[in-house]
Amino acid sequence: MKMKINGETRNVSHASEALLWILHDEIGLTGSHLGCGVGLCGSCSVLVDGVLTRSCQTIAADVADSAIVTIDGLGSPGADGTFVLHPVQQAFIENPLQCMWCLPGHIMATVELLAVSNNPTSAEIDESIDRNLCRCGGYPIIRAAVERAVELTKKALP
Amino acid sequence: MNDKGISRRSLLAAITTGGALAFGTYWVARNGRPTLVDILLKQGAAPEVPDGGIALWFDLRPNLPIEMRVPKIEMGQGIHSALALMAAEELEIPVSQLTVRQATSTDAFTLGSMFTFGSSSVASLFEPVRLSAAMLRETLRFEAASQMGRPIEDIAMRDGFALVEKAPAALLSYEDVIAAKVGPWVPVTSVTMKAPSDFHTIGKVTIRLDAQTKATGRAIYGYNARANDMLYGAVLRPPRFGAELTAVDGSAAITAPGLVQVVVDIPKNFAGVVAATRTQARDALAKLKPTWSGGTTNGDLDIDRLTTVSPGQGNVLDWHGDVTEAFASGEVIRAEYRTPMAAHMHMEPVAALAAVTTKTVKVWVSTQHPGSVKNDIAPEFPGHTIEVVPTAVGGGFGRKTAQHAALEAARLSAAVGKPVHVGWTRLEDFQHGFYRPATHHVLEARLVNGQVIGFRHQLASADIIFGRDPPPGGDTTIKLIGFDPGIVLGFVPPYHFKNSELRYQRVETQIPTGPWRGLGLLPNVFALESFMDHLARSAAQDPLAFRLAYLPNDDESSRLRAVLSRVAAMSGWANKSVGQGWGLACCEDVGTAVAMVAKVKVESGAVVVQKVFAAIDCGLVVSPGGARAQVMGSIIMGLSSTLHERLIIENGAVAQAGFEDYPILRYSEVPEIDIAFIESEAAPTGLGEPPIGPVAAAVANAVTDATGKQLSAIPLQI
Repeated sequence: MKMKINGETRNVSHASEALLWILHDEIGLTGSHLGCGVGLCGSCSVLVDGVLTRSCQTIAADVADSAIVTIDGLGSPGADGTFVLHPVQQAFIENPLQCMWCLPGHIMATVELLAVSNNPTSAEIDESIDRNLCRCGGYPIIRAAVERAVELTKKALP
Repeated sequence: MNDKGISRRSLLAAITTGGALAFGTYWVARNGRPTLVDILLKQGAAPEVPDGGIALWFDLRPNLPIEMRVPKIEMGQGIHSALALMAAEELEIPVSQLTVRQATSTDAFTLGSMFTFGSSSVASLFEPVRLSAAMLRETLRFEAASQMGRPIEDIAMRDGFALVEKAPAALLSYEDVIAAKVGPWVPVTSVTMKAPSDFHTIGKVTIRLDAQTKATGRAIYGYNARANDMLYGAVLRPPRFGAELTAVDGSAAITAPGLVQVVVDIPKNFAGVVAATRTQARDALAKLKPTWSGGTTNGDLDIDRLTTVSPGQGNVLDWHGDVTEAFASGEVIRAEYRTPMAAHMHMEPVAALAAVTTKTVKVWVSTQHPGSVKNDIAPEFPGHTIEVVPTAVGGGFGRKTAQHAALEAARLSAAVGKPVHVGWTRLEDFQHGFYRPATHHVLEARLVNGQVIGFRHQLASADIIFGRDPPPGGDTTIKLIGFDPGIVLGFVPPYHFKNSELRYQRVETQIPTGPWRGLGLLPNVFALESFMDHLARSAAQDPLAFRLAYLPNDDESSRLRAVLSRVAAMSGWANKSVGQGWGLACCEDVGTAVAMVAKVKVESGAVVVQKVFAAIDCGLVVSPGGARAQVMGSIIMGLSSTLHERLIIENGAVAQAGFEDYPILRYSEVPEIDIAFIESEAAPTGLGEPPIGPVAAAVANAVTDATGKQLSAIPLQI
């Protein structure tokens, strides 16, 4: 089976398995993380056709026709060929969480939030963050990072 | 090798063969937990000073940044960055120019020195790292002087360059100096470290060196470790704690898709499978038919019954004066407190990759304690060279001081002859770990004219340290020591009472217990500081003034007095009115003093924490951003325990599954948090755990203030 992952077409053998393990083990994109395995913590989050999706709860074959974006696929080559961070990545680097195992969830949730609106309300930011868990207690830092991501995204607009 | 014949290890080699240990200095465990040592001495047992010798190596290669290998594990506390700040300060280089690499078991560090625990990393390495870096800087300076043909007094070291102040053109980068070096290095070991007033990096720069790797999904944690041709393992778990495997019928698994091998070792209580994918391994495992025998059937009622203070029982850990006499006449105020078992809920379940050959075992593992991993593996692989590669750790909180995924992966890898990864599921990790033990506290005091003239705290708890790591000599040693070193943290009050007694009952519940952030700190401080408010109310005194009365104006109490007055100022304590939902608590741990004020409201039977103020004196703050994150994290994890967390045991097993029925604090429940550090140039003490101490008591005291209701257990029920 073929899948579109981070803009590339990839051959996948174990189509009946969870998307998380296809990404993590079969393709070797280990940026998405197992946290709970039941869709509660959000550490495994990816975008499926732009929609925040728990990859631990998604069978790969069910999203075979969709465009998958993972944390590994954010960022882009710049004009001089060097890697340019996605503004959301940049924001979370400036506001680093503690262990960062949950970070893929927070980053992908923020990417989705800002794709829907580049000017989210405070309540929308709160709702977005509350989708994911963080045991290190980095929640206030996450709020600061999302606010910074909003700022960086606005700056990048033409 | 470059054309000047300098191997990349030449500096390293020059130093070790020169007989002078130039850039590795001795580690002195100078910041243990003083109350433990005090108690041991008082009881006549010699304190065990951890074996010291470790080396901190800087690796210098021509035309490359200086590499620092750090023994401590990065699990979110930002330790790699904090240690880099210390080194960069003395090296006189921008911290961004330093490459930090996790040391492995082959890097000449003792494995004990890699154990990352007890809020000890910054405190114990503050001197050795700076000293080593200063020696390296002076060695480079000496060499630069020689290369530039100048007296050493002329050479200044700044921003990664050796330069001559009066001749601006005379300039060599450190890389230039290293690249041009011919012959053996001459280590300069007589150096002076900088005074804190001259620091430009320590306490000034906020950096997380690992943030970019982690924000781009490229960091290697234990769960992410990969190797060519790797397979996936899964292991059977007992239905009850302590149950033993007596037989396994693997016939149904043989035909499972992707199965490589079923591995059964009854004497080791072990059965697992190896398959081509993780999912296939799980499916095959489900087809094994094990027979288990024995184990405990204890449940919560048993645990509570066992964990109950029996008056007069247990060992006296500390005493002053004669409390029995003080209690002999007149009313004794008495209160009981309980804390439940709790799980760590680190976000990355335990995991390891192992590659075993006939002569070697190499494991990549998410661990706080590489030495324990090696000790797990070594007895089963005699004659093998064992290499432990610690990975990034997705949260530890004590759970990863002892985890056996590496041994499981090694057994499976040895069986199939290929690398095998074992990553536990959340369910396995949650139900088959070890836990913060339940505690029961009985506190008594007698007040005369509003003054405490007698105080007794009796504590019953299962082990923390000895539950995971029995000392040499086993039970005999434990009986001689008389207490578990973990459970007594926070047990010794900072207050000076005329007559006092601390009594501890060690209990056995058959349920695995072990270190959880702060060990006994949160339970003991919850009990003590709730009781202090109870006494203050009985004496009709302000809780702050009541506490200060038992903290003499001397060196020993100065930190705690300072944080109490700071938190009072931050929160406007003097202007608050009784009944509005304000609570205060404080503690000392590892030499760090913490005071906290919580503001709560109670809405339709639920506690809402609105604001937490925290003042901390941990000596000099090395990494400002990291320090704030540690305090914030401790407060939030503490609130989670205070409001939600209670592990339920039924019939010898954990009765919950994970986040679904053991909820942890969510973003939407996080209060406003205001943190202040006392400005200090004193050597840093620890920070990862002390701030969790007062959280539960501050909130409980605030709820009592708001409702008038006495609270005697966490999670708080009103």
